[in-house]
Amino acid sequence: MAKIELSNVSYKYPFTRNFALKDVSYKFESGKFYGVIGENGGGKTTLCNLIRGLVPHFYKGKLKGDVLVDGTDIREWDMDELSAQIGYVFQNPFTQISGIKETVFEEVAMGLENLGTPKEEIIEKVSNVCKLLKIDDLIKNNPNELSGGQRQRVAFASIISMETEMLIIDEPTSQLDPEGTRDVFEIVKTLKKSDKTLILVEHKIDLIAEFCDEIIVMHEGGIAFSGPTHEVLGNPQIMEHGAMMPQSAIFGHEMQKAGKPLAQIPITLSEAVSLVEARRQNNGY
Amino acid sequence: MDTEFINSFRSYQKRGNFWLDLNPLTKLNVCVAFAFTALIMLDYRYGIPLCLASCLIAALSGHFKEFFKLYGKLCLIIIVFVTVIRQIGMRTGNATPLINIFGWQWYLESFIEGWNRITFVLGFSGMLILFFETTPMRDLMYTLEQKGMSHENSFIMLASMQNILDLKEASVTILESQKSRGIETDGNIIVRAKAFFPMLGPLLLGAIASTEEKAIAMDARAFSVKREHTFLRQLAPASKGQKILSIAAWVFCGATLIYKIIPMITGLFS
Repeated sequence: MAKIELSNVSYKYPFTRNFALKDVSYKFESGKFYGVIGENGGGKTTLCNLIRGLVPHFYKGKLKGDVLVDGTDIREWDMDELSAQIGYVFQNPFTQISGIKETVFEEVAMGLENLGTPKEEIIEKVSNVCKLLKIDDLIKNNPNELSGGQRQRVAFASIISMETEMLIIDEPTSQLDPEGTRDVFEIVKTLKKSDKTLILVEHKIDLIAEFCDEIIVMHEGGIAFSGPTHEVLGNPQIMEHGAMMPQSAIFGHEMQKAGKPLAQIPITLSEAVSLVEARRQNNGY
Repeated sequence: MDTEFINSFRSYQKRGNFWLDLNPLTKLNVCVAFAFTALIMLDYRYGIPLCLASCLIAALSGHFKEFFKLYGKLCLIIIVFVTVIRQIGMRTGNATPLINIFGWQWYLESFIEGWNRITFVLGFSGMLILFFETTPMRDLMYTLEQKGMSHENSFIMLASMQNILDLKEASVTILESQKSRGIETDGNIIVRAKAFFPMLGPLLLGAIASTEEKAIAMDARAFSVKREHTFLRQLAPASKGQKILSIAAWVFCGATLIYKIIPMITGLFS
């Protein structure tokens, strides 16, 4: 059984004319890492809100079609119980800090307190997560005094500590500087090693290419392209639908146009380097 | 990793000071009970020692600076204002001249009446300021949650306090950005008042937008899950001695009420 199944889903926010999602059908399998890309206003965040249950429970609006989470229709799920199943990290690091805890350690523990976890277990899990995400030097700091990048790492830690089966990460680096972005992608790299189902919405296509198993390209509320990462990101048609190709893929296509094709279209820098090396060896350079 | 800090959560939170380590509800009972005694007694002979006691407790708990920052200002305003107003307002019962200030005769009776009221206000407020300066709001909310208050209400109280600080910071940023758009923000009161409205709109809209995101973020932390919450940071429940202290404070308050009422009742029947 798929973890999440969307069948002919259309959704309109309250007081709006246009549908934010139009006839979307897709299956999210357990344990896979999905990347969602596309232009602004394409429906990426709405898709995340739908999977997370914010649509229709929080945002209300008009929802058509079927959304099954672990076999149960989203409309029948208690949104509060869904939060124990599906973690959510989003763009703004400043609003993800509760503001009521005085240390990072307590902030990270907040989700576990809400879940009724015994204290010793909270201490163990929070300590482990802080070490994993390399925020152990910040545990005594006041979360309200952290930088954006640090707050985003704390937000990640607080969700990861809850050990949800699935994690939705919506543009976590959009408000961060390059250093903050690097820190977040280190976390994403760590998450990839786990068996969680991950959905990452990002514009930094070169970084998405490195981590994701499958890509969904959202365009005007619908899914324009979907499939294995290599197949989607190597397809130049995605650029006509508001998505960007990785630099390496553009390079691969340019090499093809120049009559010097590589064995396949690369999507990451390391792949491009290997393919260029292989071509050189084959051609005796 | 700071294991000492982490281990501190394994036991009840203590600060090593008798007053600070009292259960917040015990402190609340003691402070409110004694605050009401200032109202009941309305006598400077009781009020002045009460004010000094609140200063002493603040000093012994290591919070005198923060306590007196507010209390000192209050004392200055109330003492000057009430003393002067009493001298002006009290027309009858003035028999004993006190001092003469450039032809303005001050009387002892008005002075004493003024100080009765001053020490009532300062005694009452001193006790409440002492409570709030020596009791972190999160400790009070924790104790109230133990008594059955919902954690939603606790969150609202605590988040509101932080929101005030966040809004203050946001208003400074918005003022700066409005300044860069040509709106005058420095100058006389009329200029400043005019700058207030272009700041208010973005501030309110920003607050609404961030509230929505905060609600989603808290939901992601299972805020509304219907399970019994646990607490990483715990305070010791009130001991038997503390409960006796709370009761004793209210008994004393009751005793002051009886002390004041009895002469009134006997006066009615004599």
